[in-house]
This record gives sequence, C-alpha cells and structure tokens, in this order.
Amino acid sequence: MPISSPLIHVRDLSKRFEVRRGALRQIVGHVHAVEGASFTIDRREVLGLAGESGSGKSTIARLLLRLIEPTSGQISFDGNDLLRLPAAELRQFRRRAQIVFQDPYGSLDPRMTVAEAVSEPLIVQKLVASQRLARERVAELLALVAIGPEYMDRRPGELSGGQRQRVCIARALSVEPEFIVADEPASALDASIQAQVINLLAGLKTRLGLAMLFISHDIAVMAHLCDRIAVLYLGRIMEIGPSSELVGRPKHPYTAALLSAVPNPDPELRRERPLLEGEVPSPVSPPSGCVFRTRCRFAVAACASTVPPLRQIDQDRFKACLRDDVP
Amino acid sequence: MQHATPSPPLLDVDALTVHYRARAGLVHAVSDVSFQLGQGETLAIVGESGSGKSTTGLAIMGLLPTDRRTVVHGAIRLTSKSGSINDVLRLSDRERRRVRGNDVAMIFQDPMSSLNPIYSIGSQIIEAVQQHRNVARRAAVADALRLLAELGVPSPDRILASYPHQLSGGMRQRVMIAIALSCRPRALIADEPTTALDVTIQAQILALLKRVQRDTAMAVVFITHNLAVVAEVADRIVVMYAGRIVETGPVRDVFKSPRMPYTRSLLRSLPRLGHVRRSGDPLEAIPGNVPSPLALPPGCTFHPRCPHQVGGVCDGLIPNLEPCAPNRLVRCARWREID
Repeated sequence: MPISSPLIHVRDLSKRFEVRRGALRQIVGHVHAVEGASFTIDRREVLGLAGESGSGKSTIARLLLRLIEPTSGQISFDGNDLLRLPAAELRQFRRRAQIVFQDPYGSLDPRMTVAEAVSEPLIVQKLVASQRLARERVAELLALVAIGPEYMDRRPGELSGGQRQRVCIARALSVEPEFIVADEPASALDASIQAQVINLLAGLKTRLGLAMLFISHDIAVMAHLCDRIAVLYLGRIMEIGPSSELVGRPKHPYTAALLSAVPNPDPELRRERPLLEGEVPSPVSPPSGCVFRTRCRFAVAACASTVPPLRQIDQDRFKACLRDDVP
Repeated sequence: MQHATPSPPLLDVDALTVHYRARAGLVHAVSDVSFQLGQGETLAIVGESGSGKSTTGLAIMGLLPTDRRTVVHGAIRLTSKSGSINDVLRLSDRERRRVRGNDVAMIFQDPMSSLNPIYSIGSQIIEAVQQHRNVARRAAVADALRLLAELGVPSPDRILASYPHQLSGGMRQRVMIAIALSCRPRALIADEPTTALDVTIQAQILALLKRVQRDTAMAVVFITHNLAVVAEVADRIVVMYAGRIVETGPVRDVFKSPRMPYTRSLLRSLPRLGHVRRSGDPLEAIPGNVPSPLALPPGCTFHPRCPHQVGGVCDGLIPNLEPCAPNRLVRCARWREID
C-alpha cells in the first residue's frame, strides 16, 4: 500500500436510527442521521466537519471510531475494512484512533488524579511495564500539552476548564494514536482559552503528524485549524474543499448561507444580510431531492426530484448542487 | 442605531458591588461597576466566566439573593414608565415584582430551563400578560397571538397550543422574547440569548431583537462572551474582567483602538473568516487562566496574564477607571505608554 493513500476512506456511509413508538415499540420511522457520505482523510490532515445541530457531525465521528455501526457503506482505516476487523485488530484500532469530547468537565473522572487519568489508557492497552514508567510517560505527555508536572497529583476539580481539556488531550495522546476525533473541543471554553486549545491542536498536528477529524459549529475557528472542510446539512455532505477556498469562495448555496450567518467581528462592516429563513426540517422525513431545497434561494423544480450527487467542480473541490451558476 | 443618551438615563448603574460570603472566603463577584443606558441604546457587557457580567444582569432585574450571605452596595436607578426613578436595590419584593416585566425584562441563554415544561406555551405567555395588566383571558390570548406573529413565528396558534419540549431552541427563544416583551418593557436584559443556538438561528434572533428595538426604542443590555456578536448589535461596550469594568466606550472606537491590554488580546484572539491566510496559522492566545474570584491577584487583576505588565506598577494598587478618549474609560496603569 503506497504511503500516499488516505488514512481513512469513507464510501457511501449511511446511518439511520429507528424511531419506535407505543407499547409494542413498533418502528414508526427512521432518523436519517447520515446519508451517503463519502470522503477521505489523509495522514497528517485535519478535516473539519461543519454543520448545524442535527446535521450528523457527531454521528459521523462515532461511525469513524466504530462506536456505532453504520446502516450501510464502507469505512477503511489504513487500507483495512474497519467494519470487518477481527477482534485483535479492533483492539489495535482502539489504540490508533482516539477522541476528545466537548465537555472537559464530564469526560474526566472527578476521583482520579491527573496522572491516573492520563495513564489509564496506557495501562488498559498494556503499553507500560510499571507504575514508575507510567508516571514518567505522563510527565512527558503533560509537557506536550503545556501542563506542569506539579499538576500530576491534582484532581479535575482543582483545574480550570482549559486545563481539563488539555488533560483530556494528553490522555488521548497517551497511546500514540494516528487519528484523533476532536468533537467541539473548544466550544465549552472561555474566549481567551479557546485560542490556546486550537493552537495546541494545530501544534500537535505538525509535531506528531496526526490526522484529525475536527467537529465544530464555528466555521471561523475551523478555517484556522483545518486543511479541508466538509459542510453537512441534514446528514448529507453539501460541499468539500480546502478551508481557505471554501470559506473565501463558497460554491454551495448552503455554505454561502452558513458563512453569511457568522457574525463579523468588525463593527465597521455591520450590514443587513440575507437571512436563512426557517429551520432545519425533521431528519425523520427529510425533503425529497436536495435536502436543502426548502430553504434555498436558488431552488428550481429539478431540486425536488433529483438528489444532487457530490460532484467535482474544481481541483479538490466538490459540491452537491445541481446548479453551476450559484451562489 | 446611534442615539444620544437623554438625561436622566433610562438605567443608571452606580457603583454596584456584589460580594458573596462563601465557605471558602469572600467572592468578589462584582466590584464598583457603573454605567448608564439611554432609550433605544444597546449596551454590551462582555466578559468570560467569572467576570461578573451575569451577576450585573441579575442585579438590574432585582434577582440577586436577599440572604445574609450576599452583600450588595451601590444603586441601580431605573426610570419607570410614569417617569419616577426607582432604585431596584431598595425596593420591596412587591415593588420589585411590579418593576420586573413592566419596566425591565430579561431573557436567558437556555430557554428550556426558563419555560415550565408542564404548561403550554400559550398559558405561559398569557400568565405573563395577566401578571402585569388587568385584562381578560381572551384579550390576553389575542395579545399572545399578536406578539408571536410580530416576532415572525409561523402559525402562532399552533405554537400557543404546544409545550416547550415540542419546539426547537430558536422557537423557544422567540417565545421567551415574546414573554419578555409582553408588557412592553423599556429595557431588556439579554444574557447570552443566542449562545445555545446555531449560527443561522442566532442571526435570525439578532435580527429580530434589532427590529423590535427599532420599533419600540427599547434599551437593551446584551450580556455575552462573543465579541463578534457585540460588533453586530451594540452601540457601546463594557468589558469586564474578574468583577470589574476594565474598558468601556463606543463599540466602533473600542474595536478600532482597544486601550486595555485584555481587550486587545481578546480582539486579536478572535478567529476571523476574512483573515485566514492558510490553515494552521496560530490564533493569538491569552496565556494563563481567568483568576478565581476567591483569590484575585493584587493590583490589576489581569497583570499575571498581561504582556505589558511591569513589576511595582501593575501588581500594587488597583488602577482607576479613567478617561482615555471622548466617552471612553480604561482601567490600566500603563495605557498611555503601551500604544
């Protein structure tokens, strides 16, 4: 397998959750959480998943880590079919792929010290021979996320939100993963601390050569960290492309609408913007054809009957929209 | 939306200080905070967690605890519809309930926890209307329908019949705004009203608040941690850090030439869509952490994180909040030197 092949290759991935009602818990419908998603993540690449709540961002993350099973589609990790990995290799995969969650308060055990939390994965994966070696490794890991060794024996309650998130990142890094999912890792933090965590992740990507799936509702933060961005709406990928190009010249009407909704931090540029009207439709009964058409300013009759395929429109750029002349 | 502040101001917060006696010590939640707000004006109070911005909002609403553990000093003078001036901090509970809703109303970050899950939306709006105005139920229902329609809620009668959990976050926030506006208050305190919402819904709610304000000349205190939202909605800004105002002035001026190093760093740490040169460019981060309100550093509370701090100057006395330009105040011992 050549080294240039992507680390993760996702083809036509779908996940539907059953909706059950009544005493007999009969299936009355499906939540279309992810529909026909295809994308790749290269080694050393950060792919951003942008989208509003309910767009399927976190479902894709959980599918890629095989925390949940897809309804259909394929995922390959380093050339192997992730969905058919034998038990021993799945255990290996659990070491190679890690996740950092949004809430650093809920993802650390309040009774464990920092050293215990960071070394737990090492012990579970049998990567250290002794407690003493584990402590040495913990000190190295904490240094990597700029936390002094004096914090080793403190508990999460004594740490600030930013420090807790650093500890969570150190814990994820402890098993030397190749791939990290960061699910809104900075969203719960104060403004002055957010930039610290984003910069830390950017630095780790360069120093450790990590591949990353970065999930955020903040596309401005994403543009700073990610190499490419995939924009999701109602479980479908609307557009994928290199960050600066996608943010600078969006090709899909939804991407353009999402970007125009981001408040501009320059009061001189205050303006009346075209607002995206209404709300995201229910994922239990998504619109026919293009799922965005019910809110799209550019929708035409064909949008209701044809599901637009994700098609290449430029070097490295793809969009799922029938029209070439918009936005 | 620039308005000259008429005299007397609609809202006059004068040397507000709020301390809590906690088991671990005295919590300096708000220290010596003063600002005025005129009709039709939007003032943004910006700060991180523990900056005292929400406590200031609760104080204006008369919602601070009245137990012996809470120490409140200063005055919050509010000009009522009749023209009389009341100090919210010195009103009886009953008088305070009359002011609340009538003269000043509040919306919060999480509309789910502000709405009662077991009552329909309609009965909650009607309750708010009838609390303050002596109207029959039918008139109150008509009022509720009209309010929702004014706020751009599609099929208001269906919304009135539904329960909070059946609505989206954006729709719940619209309902909260309808309840807040039901008695046509002269001032609205909005505490992080769009923080829990998606950006496209945030844009809708911000546009809605602007429109209501244009139509009613209501004054708004917008409490947020999001400077980009401030740039979109506010006329003036108050920046708080560790319970104190550290900088205040017109939004355009403060954003163009922030004087307090904290404001500068905050503005520079903002990710900006237009300024992405290439991915991986570091954002400017502020080192260290927000100090604990139980153990504030001596002198300027920002000095341990400040790139311009000088020993013997910044760690001694708390600097005064002093004029640095027309309509602008800054709390920094070195603001003249660090341009």
